[in-house]
Amino acid sequence: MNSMKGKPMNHKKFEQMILTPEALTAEEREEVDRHIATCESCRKLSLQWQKASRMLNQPLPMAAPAPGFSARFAQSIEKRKEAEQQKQVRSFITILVISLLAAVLIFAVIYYSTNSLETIIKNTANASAQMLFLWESLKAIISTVTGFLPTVLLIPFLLTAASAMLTLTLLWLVSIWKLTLQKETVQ
Amino acid sequence: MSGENVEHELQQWLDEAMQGKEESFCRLVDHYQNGVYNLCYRMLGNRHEAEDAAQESFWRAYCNLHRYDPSRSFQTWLLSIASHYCIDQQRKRRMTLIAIDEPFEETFGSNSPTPEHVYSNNEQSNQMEELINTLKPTDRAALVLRYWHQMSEKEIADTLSLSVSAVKSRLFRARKELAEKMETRREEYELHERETYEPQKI
Repeated sequence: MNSMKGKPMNHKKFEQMILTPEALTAEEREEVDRHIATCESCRKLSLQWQKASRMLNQPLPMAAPAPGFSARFAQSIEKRKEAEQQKQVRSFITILVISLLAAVLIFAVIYYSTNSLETIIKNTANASAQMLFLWESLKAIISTVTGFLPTVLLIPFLLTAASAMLTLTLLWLVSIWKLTLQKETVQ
Repeated sequence: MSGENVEHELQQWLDEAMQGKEESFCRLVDHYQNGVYNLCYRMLGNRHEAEDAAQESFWRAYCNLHRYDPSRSFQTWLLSIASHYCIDQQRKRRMTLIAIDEPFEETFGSNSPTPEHVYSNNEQSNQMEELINTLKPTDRAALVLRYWHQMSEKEIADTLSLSVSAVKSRLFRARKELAEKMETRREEYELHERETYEPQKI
């Protein structure tokens, strides 16, 4: 029978002492021994821990990697650098696209809330035609450029082109917005 | 080579690596590979995953060398990266138990004991490792760093980014769980033995 029933705090304290014997003073050790003599569950825990502790305190084998670990690491550095670079480009493009979408959304909200339906339809048709023309021109430029640019220069070129495109688009959106506001003021 | 010379050389490689010399970092990898790999292996319980985790840990260290605080031990910093990576991996996999019929594969380093000693201890080691694999990731990391890497509670706290009292409580919980599970395992084993070898009644 467990003599410590009804005294959970004391019991916990002795469990702590049993499982960290290296931190005990001689007096505490005696206290634990006295307790173990009367408490069945703590005696059981003490015996179990003695066995586990013997196993843990014997020289434990250190696992070693297969030969050539550092050479494999050295070989992987270039690949990892390349992957990291691609990851950065992907993140940059994602941020670019999100910024662009956010800018378009803000512009759209402002534009639709300040113009009549007729003007919106007319302007949307005009803008779509212009965008289509711009897209076709862009595709032609990209295919021409990628044809003669070496691969090393391709990523920096694409990044510069994307940044320039973003800046131009933002400038375009801002100027259209300002023009719209000016027209409304004149009317 | 004396210990002082080794320390001097390691410091030199570290300084060079921090200045961007890749070759010096690879020398550091060569020196610390066993410690990092052993931690990954004890944490993940699988040779292939341990290799990947150790390689990834060194790569993360390489990328974050500029963040390394030279007042800390470089080995503790590396082990900290490896243990955090392994804990994350385990949490991702939600793996708390490795199949019991799949014992740990062992490769012994140069500091391994004699073959006789290995043979007599192997069964016990496998049993202990299987039990350690059932612990929670952070408890397991604390236990591995304490018994395989002989770290103090303060060093474990630094490595796992925990307070010393949190380490004490994790070690306490891990030890208690181990002791209890060992007993359960022993009882199951005895029952199995009795059922296997008891003469069948006709």
